[in-house]
Amino acid sequence: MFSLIAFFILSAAYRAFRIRSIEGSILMASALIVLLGLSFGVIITQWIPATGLAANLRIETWSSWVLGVVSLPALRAIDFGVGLGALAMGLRIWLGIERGALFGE
Amino acid sequence: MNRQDRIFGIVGLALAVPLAIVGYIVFQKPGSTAFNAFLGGIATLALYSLLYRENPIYRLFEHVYLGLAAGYVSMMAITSVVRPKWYEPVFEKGQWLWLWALPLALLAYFVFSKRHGWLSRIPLVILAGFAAGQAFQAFANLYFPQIRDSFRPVWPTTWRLDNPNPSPDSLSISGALNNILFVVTLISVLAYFLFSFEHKKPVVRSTAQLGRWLIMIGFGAIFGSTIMTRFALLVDRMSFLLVEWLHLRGPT
Amino acid sequence: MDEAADTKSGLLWKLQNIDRRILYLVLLVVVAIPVLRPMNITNAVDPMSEALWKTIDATPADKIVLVSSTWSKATRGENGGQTRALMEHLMNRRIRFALSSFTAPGAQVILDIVRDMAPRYNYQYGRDWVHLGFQASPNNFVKGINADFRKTVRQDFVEKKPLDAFPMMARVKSIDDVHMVVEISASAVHNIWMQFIKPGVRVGFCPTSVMAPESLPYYSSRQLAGVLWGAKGAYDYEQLNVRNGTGRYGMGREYMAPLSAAFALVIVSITIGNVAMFLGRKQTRRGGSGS
Repeated sequence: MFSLIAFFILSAAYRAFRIRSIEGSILMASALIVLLGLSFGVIITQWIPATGLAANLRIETWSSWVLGVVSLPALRAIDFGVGLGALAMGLRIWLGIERGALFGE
Repeated sequence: MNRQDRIFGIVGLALAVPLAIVGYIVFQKPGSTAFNAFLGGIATLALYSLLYRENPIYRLFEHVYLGLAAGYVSMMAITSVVRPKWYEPVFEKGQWLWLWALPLALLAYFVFSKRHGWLSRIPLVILAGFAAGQAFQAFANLYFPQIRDSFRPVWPTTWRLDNPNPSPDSLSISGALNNILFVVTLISVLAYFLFSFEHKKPVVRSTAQLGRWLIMIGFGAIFGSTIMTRFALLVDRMSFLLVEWLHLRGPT
Repeated sequence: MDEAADTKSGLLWKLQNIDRRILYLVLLVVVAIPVLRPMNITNAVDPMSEALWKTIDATPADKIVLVSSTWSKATRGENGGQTRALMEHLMNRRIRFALSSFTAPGAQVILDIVRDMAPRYNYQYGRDWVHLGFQASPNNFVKGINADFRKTVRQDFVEKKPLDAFPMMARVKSIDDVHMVVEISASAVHNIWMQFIKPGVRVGFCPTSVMAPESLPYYSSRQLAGVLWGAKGAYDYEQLNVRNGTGRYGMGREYMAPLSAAFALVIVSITIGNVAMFLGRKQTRRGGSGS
């Protein structure tokens, strides 16, 4: 059943993935770089030497860079927000100041 | 349900039941999974019929799948959890003190009662209390190393553009630039996400705006990965149908 | 000139509003061809995959690896390949391992795979591997095995016997006797291991691609010893196995070509869709300025 989503993704890619804003373009470009780095992108740039400064032009290097230098801290920051929220929630339950369906309201 | 769907459903069932019986007679052999593969292929095609249009066959197999999953989980919960961890200690090993767990667990079913629904909150808040108690250890173990790793050097120690053998003591110019971008991204995304203070001052506002753009890159990476997962599942289903079910190709 | 504009806009309209079922059929064909005619795609092994491989390969003879399987047949396309590659490595190196799961289906799927592979390597249940079964409470399981395996796991999953009945578990008392925990999962269960496991025990993670970006921060901070990135991770691991004589190619390499074909189709679809949109806009502007 989960594989049905692949068809819907293709349909959405054809009809709805339109480059209308800068943010959308950034998201699309990042997705394409990561996608290529995880699949056949290696074939496209395998003629470029794997060592030296030229190696920075390989798709897998771009993909690693996007993931390790930009995506990683962004996701880490989101994680920090989530973690602080969970900690605050735990503290509220401990101190008995949490309000909600489970706690009396 | 309109007439066309009703006919679709009746014809589909009329075909599916004899097909399953014939499949059982032909494929079922001790130690063989051929019948499982046969049923799996029928179910896969039935679920894929949704791609043509919404139909009762898809609905039937969807409900069968959900029912099977629920039944399997219930069976496992009883045989792997309740029986070895509660029933046997209480009734076979004489550890009667664990008997209190049964009424406590049964209180959860009061959620179906309008008058006594409040009783169902008791086991839930006990579990919430366990989770809250563990939250501090969880936070410390999960995030303290993250915070430590976020402090990165931004001044190069070796004046090379690229370092083929990076080590903790040598940081090239490109490494330093990467670390600067890392720290800037972390701070700006944090500024965007922390809503406890207002984004009034221009510095905070522009940092949050930069964070928003940089988050797009992170989300793009997640999006690309999501596409990969979904298509990998599709490739697996196609491989199952064409290779394991129809045997159109031998094993590699 | 009106006819030309009509034709162009007609063509553009058709291009932008193609029946989705035609797209589905194209996708089926594009994926089916490389499945029926396998081809090899060049792969560059990711450092995270190599780190996981090296950590497992360094398992001492007196320790075991704990493999936690929290996936189901729904994610077989990614987790199945990872599991097989991992098992090939463990069995080739004669590394003893214990299995466990935090979901009901996960316990069965990994059991099926190990039972399928074990005869080839003469791996015997009880002597070389053991299945601890489905553990309903991940937090309590991890905290429990930190101190004592036997108090946490009353019986194994296959023979329903206490752990003392198995020769392999004779010297395995607690997590101190486990070199590494590898979590193969379709969800974020790796957090449980990192939150509650005793410090010093290595944790590896084999997620589906969806969860992989979220595990990067933990790999960077060395809380995870290695990560296999979905189907590509499976291919990386197989490549490392072949390179080092600890296994062979399997689902990872087999699925990479159809995956790449599907991605190429997605990229082409996005390109055609956007080109059609831009041409349509140009057409509208030209038609508007002309009137």
